[in-house]
Amino acid sequence: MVSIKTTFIGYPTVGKTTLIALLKGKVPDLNYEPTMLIDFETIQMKEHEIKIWDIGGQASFEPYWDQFVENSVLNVVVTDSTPQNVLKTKMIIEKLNKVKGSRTIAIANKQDIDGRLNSNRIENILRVPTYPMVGIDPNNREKLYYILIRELLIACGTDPNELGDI
Amino acid sequence: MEMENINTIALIGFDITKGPVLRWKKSYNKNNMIDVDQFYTNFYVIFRGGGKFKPKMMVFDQFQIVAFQNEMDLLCVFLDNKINEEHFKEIKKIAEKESSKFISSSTKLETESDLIKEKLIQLLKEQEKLTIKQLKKHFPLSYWTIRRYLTDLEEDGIIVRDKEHKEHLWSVK
Repeated sequence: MVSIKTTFIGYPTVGKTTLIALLKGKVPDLNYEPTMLIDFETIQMKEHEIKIWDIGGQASFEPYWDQFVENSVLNVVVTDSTPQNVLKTKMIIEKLNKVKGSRTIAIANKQDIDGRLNSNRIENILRVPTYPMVGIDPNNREKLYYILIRELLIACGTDPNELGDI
Repeated sequence: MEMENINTIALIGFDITKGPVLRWKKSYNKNNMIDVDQFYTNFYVIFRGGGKFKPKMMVFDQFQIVAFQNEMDLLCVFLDNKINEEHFKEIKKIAEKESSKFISSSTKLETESDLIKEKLIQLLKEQEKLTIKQLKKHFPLSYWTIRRYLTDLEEDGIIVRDKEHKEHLWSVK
């Protein structure tokens, strides 16, 4: 059994835990319960297990972020797609870019809210591959799953084209 | 419970952006060893973190905390330690006894498997190429057990196998 570490990171209320719940096939809890420092989930994928680290986005937990992303194969930075949050998220990505040996992508979550930036614009600002998402829609589970698998394959140096379009 | 046991009472809140915040505290002990200002984030995480199971009370070396949750707020009562050390010593004895049983058996297993692998490598070095049937003569082990050790060594890149007719021939790389 091979374990692959993936880290979900981003500021509070952007929907990190909701996205992880979506991946697990759980019904998203719309009552906000902040992640206290860190939480863990595991997703089974054939002979591999993806260990997901869900990092609390509050400022007092920020000093721990560097340690938590260590040995992570893939860092998934989540933004709620509002202009303010996207700009703040850029700072997280700049920090993560200094960590060697891991790949960073972004999820432009809450693409259903007014005043959002579209994912192409967000990608131009963040300068990492960015995927649009509505985490509270259970129909997006498969899409998110494929994003994760595709990006993990790229992070591990494997050609993801076998998966086709997502 | 008497008031004199109480060292400090603190209310730790939670700000959606900042995280845990110390709303207020009151100390009742002049020789206060509990640095709530420095560690309130840790205390908050201890009681609110960890998913499904939430503690009501934590025992530390020098103090205890009882915490009461009200929505996102946590009212912490820090108590001077009055724990029964003898009771802890008894628990420790039982735990150590049980864990030593486990550790000695797993160490024994590890050593045994290392010895078998060493002997397999030695035999393959001497004979160049051997089948499992030939190797089995040297060990009181089943075919499949020997095969498992061989595939372990193969995965480690120490030995390789060739196929001759229906049988696998194993040799040192």
